[in-house]
Amino acid sequence: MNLETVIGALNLGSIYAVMALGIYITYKILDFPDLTVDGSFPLGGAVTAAIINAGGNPAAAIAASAIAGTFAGFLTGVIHVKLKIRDLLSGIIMMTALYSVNFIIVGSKASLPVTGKDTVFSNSFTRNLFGEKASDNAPLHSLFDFKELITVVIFLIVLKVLLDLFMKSKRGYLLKAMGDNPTVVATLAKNGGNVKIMGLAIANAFVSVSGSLFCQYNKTFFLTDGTGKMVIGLAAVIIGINIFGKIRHIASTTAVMIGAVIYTACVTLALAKFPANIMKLVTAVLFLLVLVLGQVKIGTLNFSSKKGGDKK
Amino acid sequence: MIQLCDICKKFNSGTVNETVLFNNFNFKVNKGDFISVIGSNGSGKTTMLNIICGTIGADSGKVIIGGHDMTHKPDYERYKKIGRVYQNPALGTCGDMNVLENMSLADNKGKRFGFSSGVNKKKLDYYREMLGTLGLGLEDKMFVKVGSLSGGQRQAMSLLMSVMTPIECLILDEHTAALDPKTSEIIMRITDKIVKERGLTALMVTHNLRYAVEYGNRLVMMHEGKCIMDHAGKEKENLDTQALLKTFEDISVELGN
Repeated sequence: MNLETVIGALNLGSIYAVMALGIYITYKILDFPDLTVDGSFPLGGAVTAAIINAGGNPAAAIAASAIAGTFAGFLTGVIHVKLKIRDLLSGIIMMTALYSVNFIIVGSKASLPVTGKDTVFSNSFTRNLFGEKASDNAPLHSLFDFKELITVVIFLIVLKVLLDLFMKSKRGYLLKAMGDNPTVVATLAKNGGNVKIMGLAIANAFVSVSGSLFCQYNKTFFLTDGTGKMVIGLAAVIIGINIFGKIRHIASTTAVMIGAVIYTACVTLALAKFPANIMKLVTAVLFLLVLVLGQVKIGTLNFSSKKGGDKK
Repeated sequence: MIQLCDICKKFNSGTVNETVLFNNFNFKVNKGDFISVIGSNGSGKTTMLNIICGTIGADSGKVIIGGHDMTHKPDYERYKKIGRVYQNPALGTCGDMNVLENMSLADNKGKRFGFSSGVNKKKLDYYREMLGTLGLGLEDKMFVKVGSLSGGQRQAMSLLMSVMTPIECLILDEHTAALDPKTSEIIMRITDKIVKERGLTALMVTHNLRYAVEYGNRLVMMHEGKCIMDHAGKEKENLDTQALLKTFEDISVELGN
């Protein structure tokens, strides 16, 4: 295990943290197990790869990914709310459909590289800021080696602050109320179904932006990029909320972000030790571990700093 | 105010368990009425409320609220003019949100839920004052999660939240049934005060015969999807619990138990 691997894990963890923020909205706030994620994550990548290859601006590609993700989430919501299909199935339908959509977006190829093109990690601005390449004699001591991490963390912080602000707005309260108690939303004379659709749309925008960053980071889009992303996001949310969510002064969104980084680090560590053919098996066992450990009351380990009044 | 016209409602339609609850049921709630509805289990009290609010649809018939035909309107459209408190105290509030957040949500009913701040700190004192009138100490718990309040406190909040914005009709669905005798007494007194102060039309389903006699200006007894007793004004004032119990027993005798 060298420093490069560690930074690689942090990079990936921070990229997944953006997705985890989205999954936090559906899974934790709305209580909706949204499988659209496995389709909307590569959707962001596909849109990005297509735009960058067409000579588009990488930042514009992220914005376009967000819009595409919003639309995907919106459709999942419509399938669930208006056509009355169960939550899991709505997500599966959308995920399945998106596979073909992604295929078409990248021109019916299994992968689409963006090598040699400008990305948010590598453009004239970052080259000026971080230098052209790593210094030869002092590896990992120049800012260049942290350029991806710094860029992702900036995105992450901006998105987190936006989400926090939104959750404190009236509309955010309505979203919280919808996940908490739909009856209250109805008695507030609000269409709860629309609130759900809105939540799914926002969540998948986050997921697609994460997919866009993922594609730009890997410099290639793969049609299979989405596989297992729901599990990663879910694990991040569960780890984050269960371990850090109980500590005072740590916002749930921050907890989820830390969860994403920790889970990615664990997976990276584990995968470095095991051969590639059992990779998915290891990931599955890790996820199971997270779920089981999530049931252990952290409060009994004196981790919790909440006072008795907040029992629930 | 509220009118149910020729309502028919069957449950388990088309199966061996088919039960006909309402067959051309008619009911009228006049403006300013405070109606207590009593009746045995399965008599159709709660179903009537659900049909009024749109929680469940009727098989046929019309629901008219405030002069408008609301038969085909979804529940959230109807709640624009209706407030509702449920039997389960958890249904009227959001347990994961604190008292202030819940009050702010209720305060915004009928307005746009936009991107402005969810709570208005300037209104903190106003909410405190409102909660203070309940006399349950809620004014000191503004930042406590509603889920950790007692059932009585939660129900009192539900009540307050349901009448926070101007509504025309208050629906009370056995709202004291899950509370201990002392707390239900308090909640009933608060209910009566609010209904009188605001001149609300109220429809209260209860299993407590004493509350039915003591509160309100009209008493309705339901049985097998029909109103078998409907007394208002003076007639109602002369009723007592003994007489009601007698009627209740008579129904049971007819049923053969």
